[in-house]
Order: sequence, then C-alpha cells, then structure tokens
Amino acid sequence: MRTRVFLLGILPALLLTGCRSNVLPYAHDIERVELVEVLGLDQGSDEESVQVTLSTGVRRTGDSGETKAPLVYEIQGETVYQSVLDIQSKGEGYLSCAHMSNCLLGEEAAQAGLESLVDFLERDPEMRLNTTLYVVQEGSASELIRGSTDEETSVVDRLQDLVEDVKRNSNTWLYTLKDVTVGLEQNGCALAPALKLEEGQAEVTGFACFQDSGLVGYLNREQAMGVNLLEDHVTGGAVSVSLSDGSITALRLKKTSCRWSVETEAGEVTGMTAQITVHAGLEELRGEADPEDPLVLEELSQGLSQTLKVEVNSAIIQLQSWNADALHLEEKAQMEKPGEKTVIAQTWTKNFSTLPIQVEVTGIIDQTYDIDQPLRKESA
Amino acid sequence: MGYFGRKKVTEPEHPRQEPNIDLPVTLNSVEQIFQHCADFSKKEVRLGGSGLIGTLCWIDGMVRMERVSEYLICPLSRLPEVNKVDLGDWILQGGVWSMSAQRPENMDELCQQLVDGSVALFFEKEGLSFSLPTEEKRSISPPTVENVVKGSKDAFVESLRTNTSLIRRRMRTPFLRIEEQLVGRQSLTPVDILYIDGITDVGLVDQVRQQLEEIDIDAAISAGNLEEYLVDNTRTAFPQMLFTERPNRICGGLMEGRVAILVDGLPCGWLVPGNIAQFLRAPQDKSTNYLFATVLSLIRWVCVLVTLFLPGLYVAMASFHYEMIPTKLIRSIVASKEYVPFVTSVEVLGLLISFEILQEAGLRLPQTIGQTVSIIGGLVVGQSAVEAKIVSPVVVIVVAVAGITGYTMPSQDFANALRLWRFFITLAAALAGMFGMTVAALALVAHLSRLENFGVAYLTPFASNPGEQMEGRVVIRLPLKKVKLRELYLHPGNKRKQK
Repeated sequence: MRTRVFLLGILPALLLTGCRSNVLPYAHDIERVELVEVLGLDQGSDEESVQVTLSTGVRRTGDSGETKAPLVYEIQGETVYQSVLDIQSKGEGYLSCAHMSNCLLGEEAAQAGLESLVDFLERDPEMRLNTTLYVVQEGSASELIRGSTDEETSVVDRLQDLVEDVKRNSNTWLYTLKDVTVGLEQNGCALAPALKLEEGQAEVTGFACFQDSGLVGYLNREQAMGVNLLEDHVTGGAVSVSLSDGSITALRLKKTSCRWSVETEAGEVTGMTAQITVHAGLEELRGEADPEDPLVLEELSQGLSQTLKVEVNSAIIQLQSWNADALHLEEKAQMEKPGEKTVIAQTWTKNFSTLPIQVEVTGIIDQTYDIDQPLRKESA
Repeated sequence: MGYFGRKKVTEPEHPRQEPNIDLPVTLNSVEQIFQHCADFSKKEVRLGGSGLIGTLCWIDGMVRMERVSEYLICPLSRLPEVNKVDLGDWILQGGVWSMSAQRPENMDELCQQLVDGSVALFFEKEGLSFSLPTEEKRSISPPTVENVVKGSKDAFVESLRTNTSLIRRRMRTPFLRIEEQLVGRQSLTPVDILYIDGITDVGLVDQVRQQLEEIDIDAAISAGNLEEYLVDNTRTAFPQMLFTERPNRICGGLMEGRVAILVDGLPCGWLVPGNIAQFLRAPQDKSTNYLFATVLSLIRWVCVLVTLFLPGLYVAMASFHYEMIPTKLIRSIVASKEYVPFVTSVEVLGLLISFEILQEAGLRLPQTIGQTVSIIGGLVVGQSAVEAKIVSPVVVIVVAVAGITGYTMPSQDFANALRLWRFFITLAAALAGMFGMTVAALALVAHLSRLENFGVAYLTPFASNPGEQMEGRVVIRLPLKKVKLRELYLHPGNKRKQK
C-alpha cells in the first residue's frame, strides 16, 4: 500500500523532468493565440521563392465592442512552411492557422502551379482542405490583402460579404482547396473563384481555370453564370430581358436544372446536349406590357432562354479553346454510357476541344402577378 | 522514522468480554453500574399483601412516568397475599398490567432493557423488568430532499419501529420479513433488515445479515457507520447503497427483490445492492407519464456527461484544441478573455474550487443566511469578478452549467462523486488536453467497472452477466404494463411481477 502511495506521489514529479513537451501535447492558451484567417501566396522575387502573407480578422477587445486593426504579416521564404514558421517570430502571440478559411493565390503564383501550396496544406495538421481558394486576377494576394485592409475592416470581412454575393448573384462559385485538388487529380482541370482589387475593394470577376495544376485563364462573370447553370450551382441572380414593346423586365432566377444527353458512335462521343430548365420570377417591369398576358410571358421566357444560352455557349467555347474539361463532361458522358466508358476515356482528350455541344435552355416564368389589379378594382 | 514515513504502530485489539457485565442481577449491581448517572432513579414500593418492600429502578426520560404509576405501582400495591416464593411468577403472569414483563437472565440484558425504557423491580432475590418506554418521537413529516408532486408525503423518522410500521402499512404481505440486529458495542443500535420472503434472493439476505454481524464498532450513530462497513469497496467516491427517506421507495426496492436496511435513530433507509442506474432514477419517475419520465431520464444521463466533462472539455479546447471551436465562438471567447491574467486551466479550476466553497458555505449556514450567501457569492462576486477581469464570462458560464447539471442528480451522494471526478478530469485536460481527458475518462470507466456490491456489478445493466441484461430499464422508462419481470441480476425467487 505504502509503495503504491509512494509511486502515485512520485508520478507527478515526472512532469518536472523536462520531458513533458515530448510526451504530452503542448498548450497554446487561447488568449495568446492570433487567429490567421487569410493566407496569401505569391511568387517571390525569384522563381525559387514564395511570398506568404497572413492576415487576421478585425479583433474585438473586451465587451465594449471596441476593435483593433487586423494584423497583416508578410514574409518571403524558400518554402511555404518555412515562411509560415518565420512569421511566428513577428506575431504578438502564437499565430494559428487552425481557423484559416480563405486562401488567396496571386496570379503569378497560380500560373506557377498549386503543388507547393496543396502539399503544405495537406501535410500541416492545423490547416484544413475545406479552405476556400481564390485567385487574384491581374495582381498579387499581398496587394489584395493589404489593399482591402484598414483600421476597421479586413479582407476577411470582404470575403465573407462576397460569399453572400455569390449566393445572390451566382457570378462565381466557391470551390475549396479540396474541390480544386480533386478536380485536378481526376481530370486535370479545376475552377476557382477569381477576385480583383477594384477601388480598394476585392470584387468577384468570375472563375479562374486551372489545368495541369497551373492557371490557364479566366471566365468572366457572364461565362461564370453559364458554368453555374451547367453545374446546377445557381442559387439566385438577376437577368434583364427587353420586350418587343420596349418594356424592360428584371427576372430573378429561382431554380435551375441541367440534364445531359450523350451521342456516341463506336464508343466515341460525337456530341453532347445540355438541356437546362430555368425557373424565374418577374421582379420588375418597366413599360406597358401586361404581365399576365400569355404572349408577354412567352416572350419573357424566350428572352430569358436566349440570354442564358449565350452565356452558357460562351463558357463552353472558352473552356473548349483551352481544352480544359473543368465541367467534368467526360465523367458525365461515362455515367450516361457506362458500357462505353473505356473508349470514351481513351478518346476524350483528343475529341473534347472539337466536340459539338448543343445547349437548350427552357425558361419558365412561374411567379408573376399584376400588382395594379387591386388598385384598378378599388377605383372601379 | 522509516523511509516511507513513521513506522507502523501495532494497533491494539478491540477489547471484548462476554458477558460484558459479569455481575448478578441485583439492585446493588444496577446501582453499581449506573453510579454517577444523574438520570438513574429508584423508588421503594410496598408489594401489597405480601408485606415485602420492593425497589423500582429506571432511567428518567426513557420511561413514561404516568404508566409506571398506573400500570406498575398501583397494581403492585394491591397485590393479594401470595407466597413469597411464587410472587415473581405471579407478577409476571399478570400481577401487574404491563404488556411486557420479563425476568432478565443476566445484567447485560437487564441494563439493555433499562436503557430501552424498562422499569426494574427488585425484591428478595428476584429481579424483574417491565417495559414502559416513553413514546416521545418526532411525528411523521414530508420528505425534505426527495419531494414529489404526485406521491406520498410521508418520510422516515428517527424511530425504527415507526419506520417499519410505515413500510408494513404499504406492504401488507405477511411475507415481509423484518430481522433485527444490534450494532455498536456502546450504542447497541437496533438495525433492521427487511426483505420479502419468496422474492428476495436468500443468498443476498444471508450476505447482508453476515455483513451486519461482522460490524464490530463502538457506535452506529451516523449513516456513514453503516454504509462504509457494508460495502465491499470503500476506495471510491461513488455511493453503492441507495439512500432514501421515502418509505414508498424502500417498498419499491423490496418488490424488485432488494434488501432494505433501517437503523434506529436515522430517518432514512438503504437499499442494497446498488448500481449506477438506481442512482439516476428519481422517485417521481414511476408517477409521471412514461414518455415524460424517459425524456427526464435522458436529460439526467446527458447531465452526468455535461457535469463531468464540460469544464475539462473547455480547458482542453481553449488550451490545446482551439481548432475545435467554431471561428465566431473563438473570436468572442478571445475577446472576453482579453485582460484576464490567468490561463484558462487556472481560471476554470479556481472557479470550480470557489463554486465548491460557496456551496459548502451555503450548506453550513442557516437556510436564510445560506440563501443570502448564495446570492452574494453567485451574483455579486461572480459579476464583480467578470467586470474586474479576474475571470472571463465564458468560464463562469461553463462552471455554472457544470454545477447546475450536477444538481439534476437524484442522489446527492452520486452528485458528490461526480464533483470529485470533475476536478480530476479537468486537471487531466489541463495537463494533456483531449488526450488527458480521454485517459481520465478511461480511468473512470475502469474504476466503475471494478466496483461490485453484494455480487452485483456497479455498471449493471451495462455490464451484466449473460441472461441478466434488462433492456429498456435504465435510460428509458417503459410503460409499466410492459415491465413484466423483476431485474434478473438480483436473482429474485419469483421472477415475474405482473400478469
């Protein structure tokens, strides 16, 4: 019994041996941690180096609602890991990337490839692959972070606003680093949202397209809408349609669905057709047109279909010009024709850029009413 | 001084002699035994027509004096002329009007009877005793801790016989057995073992009987005297005998096939064997709708986890694994902790200790002052500490939630055990985060799985023998109509309890 008590008593003394840091996890108390929320990656001054920019959000202090300016750290190093490690000495506390939710990639760094960033994020135990990846069009991540940051706002706030914008406008789609990595792994192509610094504020410009890990080009906002229609990613958005009597209407996109059909010949894909159905509601009507008139509704539907068809076609042509199957059409074709999977896979890369892809858009206006009707009844 | 402290001193044996008082049954012996006892009284009385003078002895306060005069002195003074040799037998056979007239065989027996409220009569070489105890006792009152809305309102009192009568009134079966033993050499406390013949496992009754017989202590005057001697494993904070102040709960236990123990002088009873599920059942569970009772039971089980792990989880997350906390929450935690000088683990442990101190202070003080202390401690000091940036508001919330969830435990003893383990788990979390907490949780499970009480595992029915599992009895409460069988791990003589 006494021996047991002695052993139990001496056990805590093991903590005084200095071996603790190797045996037990090391604590970073929460108040001494600076939460990095954005990581920016740019090409360094030479080709072998990278420039890493880390930014925290606006920091609240105490309960009175006072805020402190976000912290921005920038360092150049040989590798991303080395740079993040070196930045630790600059911070007020321990810089933790555990809550990093956004990753910005400068255009030059994006052209150079994603390998080093992906490798670092995959290996680091704190980082998460569900981080949203953005590409800075015609600029560097560092410029965008610094340009969007002042005493009261940070790039984090702006990116959060953009997330809401994307839901409303469908002018891009948020792809995480995992989506991009999986896309590149599966068919060598992936899309990521593109940003641009305009008048001191980050604005969405559409999509950046990666092929074989490097950036090949951008899709503008209209083309991005086309891609979202093909990928069933539309959660909102407005389309203006002009009627023959000169009236101008604003339609709100409510729900879309896309169905693919594939034509093959001896296993080779000879054509694909995308049948897109778009449900929209009339939000605004400027002019004399009667919104309950079937002819007006028919014209609206056709106008909507036409506008969207142009956007979709434009996106497909752009992607085919890069020979970048960022829409995973190969996989869709294989799903449609599972018996010809092997032949499709063998001939896809050769055929994709010239593959005839038809787009059929059916616009349905299913939410409209005459707002003047109650007034007319009242006056009568 | 040895290497491991002071050298062990050989403990002297507990002295015992049989008989305890080796004297003849005479007036002189009684006077000798009770010398220097202010409450010892005696009175000479003339024994009617016999012409003899007898001496009555008793202990003031233990006998009812009106009855002594009416049932003893009065008939004694009117005794007819009887042969002196036969006078003792004459008195025992109805010469006096006492229901209980005995001829004690030795001084141990006589002294015990005097202490229990008997009057001794000595004449010639004869010594007789008549039981005329006082009936002063607290009246039956509502339970103070185990209150229920829908159910009986009587609770045990300090009188053992009143307590057994409360049970008899509910369990009118003639098979209710009440065995009595005296525990404590000096206190000679009557302890009753209650069980139902034909339902309770005979082996279990034998075991309880034997355990009680083996208790060789000076006095059994507190609940701990019995609990600690009856359980198999005392190196645990967890209670192993269910304590209750409600007779109907004891009756429920008896019907399940358990053994009840009642002690004279203690307004409570115990049910053995105890297991973890028993301590999480509230008295009103069977009185309320089964769906509602199930929800409450679920909440109680969740509360066990919350009260045990919440402070530790917070320490682990705030010190080691802040990636587990959602970003918005971590921002407000960091903001609230700004200017607080202590690290999270010190904050939580400090506040937990303060919470215990406040609770202890509230218990020790009179009820009205206790409430004031709680208000001052909980609200004023808590609020001031937060405003003075000594502790962060999140920690106050965490500790308060852990404390309040602990109060949902129907058994105070079980809640106390959880409080103790909460400290251990929080310490482990402060030392090694989730890893430490997991190790502490494993230690808790290992500890609980080692406990056994009267042959029943403490974790029953989670860890019961094959064929003894009773699904649907622990966390959920089935409709009573569906519970046909008694709990099989108790090995009841009659397994079925309803048609």
